[in-house]
This record gives sequence, structure tokens and C-alpha cells, in this order.
Amino acid sequence: MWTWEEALLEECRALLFDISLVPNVSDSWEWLPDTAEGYSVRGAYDLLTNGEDSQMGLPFELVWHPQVPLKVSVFALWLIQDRLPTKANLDIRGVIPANDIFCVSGCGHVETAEHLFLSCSTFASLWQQVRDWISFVGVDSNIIADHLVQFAHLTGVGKAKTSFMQLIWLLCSWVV
Amino acid sequence: MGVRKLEEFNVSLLGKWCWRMLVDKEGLWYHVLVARYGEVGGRLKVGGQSVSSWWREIGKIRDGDGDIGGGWFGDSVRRRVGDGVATLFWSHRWIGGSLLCVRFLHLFDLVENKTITVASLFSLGLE
Repeated sequence: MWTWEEALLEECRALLFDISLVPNVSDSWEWLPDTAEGYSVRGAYDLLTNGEDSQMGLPFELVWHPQVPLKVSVFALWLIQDRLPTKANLDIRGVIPANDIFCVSGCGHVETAEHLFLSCSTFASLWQQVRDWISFVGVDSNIIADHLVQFAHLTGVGKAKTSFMQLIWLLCSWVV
Repeated sequence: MGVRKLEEFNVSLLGKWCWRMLVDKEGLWYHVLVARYGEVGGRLKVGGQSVSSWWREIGKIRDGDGDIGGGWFGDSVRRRVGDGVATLFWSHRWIGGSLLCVRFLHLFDLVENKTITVASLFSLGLE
């Protein structure tokens, strides 16, 4: 045996050092998330959905709100996925000529969803004004999905607060 | 229950079968599956050419190559060792966070009896 194998064996021995078997008790399977009850569909569902909240799932979930009409939610969904007929998108599909892709506000930038909703000097100042109005300080992310997530959690944790901010965000983007 | 994510919900329902495959081997349904798909080393065989999509999904969940959650199922089950008679030393997860055949891959390569149980290994003494 080589030295490194000896070391490995030593590590393995150390691991087993304080193990003792219990006679007359059969081995069994254990479901670690719930050792008492074992597997449950609800538990597994929670396990599977919890880890994902911080990733892709979240912005798409924040779009839906019981007090928001469907058209607004769908609009926000398209906005996040950049499916709105902005001039940049229309140009990609050859709907409008390439020299007509600039922002309607006349600021000279290409009219993309990000520009129109987050960085255009005419429209994006809305976010700052809204924050002033509810007196919270924050910065604007330049990715729309992040912006929604960030905005919804601006006032801290809590379902009611998040729900309220969700409402405002959806309303604002609808108005814009 | 307020199910919103259907894909995850489906996976957790299928996961129930994976769990029952471990704890309910006496059931008629298990014998049916053994007859249909075969059993290797105490585990049902997954994969193969003409298997139902239900069975394929279950295999993915059990062996941790599904799209959702990866090895969440394998990471959540563990063998609680009593007398050690029915636990495989190398390829059941019973001590530490991982399988010993993964953690001590080089030792596992060297051993002759790769399906030794915890009980027989302890009766041999730790050499």
C-alpha cells in the first residue's frame, strides 16, 4: 500500500471509530427532511420549491397578484421577458426601418425595454419619484427582472409589504 | 395545498414512489415492478429501451439526474443502521454526508467484496 492509501485508510478508520452496531434492531431508511414521519409529498414539494425562490422563479411569481387585472400581469411578464413591441424588438423582426428605432421621448437612445422602463430620463425618473413618495431610498437595477425583485423587497421582509410593493411596481410599469 | 408549480408538484408525487421503493418492498406493486424491470443489488433496474415515461422519470429522480432539484432525493435519504445486516457498507449512505464508495474511491477500488454489509465488515474487524 502507498502512503496516501494508508492515509485514506486511516481517515476511514477514524470515521468508523465510534460506531457500534445495535443487535436485534433492523436497518431502516430515513427521510432526512422529516425523520419522524418519513416522505411526504407536501414536504418534498416544499423542499423543491424553497431553494428556487432566489433564482428564476421569483420575478415571474411576483408578476401575479390577486388585485391586479390579468392584462397588467401579462404585460409585466412580457416586459420581464423582453417580449414587448419596443422599437428595438420591432426592428429585429423587420417591422420598422432601422433609422426609426430611437426612443419616443426624443432622448436619442435606442428604444429597448430596459431603456424605456429603467434608464430613459423621461420615464425612468418615475421610480425615484415613487420611492420619494413612499419615502424609501433605493437604486435602480438595470435589469428589469432584478428591478422588480429588488423593488418588491425594498420595504423589508413580510408578505403584506411585499404584496404592496408588488402592486406599486406593476401599476407603475403599466402606467409607463 | 395551493399548488402553483406543477412541475415540482409532479416530481414530489413521483418521489413518493422512489421512497416506497425503499421502504415497501413487500408490496405487490413492488413485485410487479421487479417482474417488469428486474432487480440488481436490491434495487430496481431503471433505464433501458422500452420503459414507460413514468418509470423513466422515477429513475431520474432516484438517481439524481432530473431537471428539477438534481440529487435532492438521494441527498435526503439515509440508512439508519441498527444491526447492520441489511446495509451495504460502500454503497448505502449511512455515515457522513456521502457514499463511502465515493468518498474513499481509491479504497473502494481495492476491496474485493464491494457489496459487503456493515455487519459483516464489523464482524471481520476493521482492517
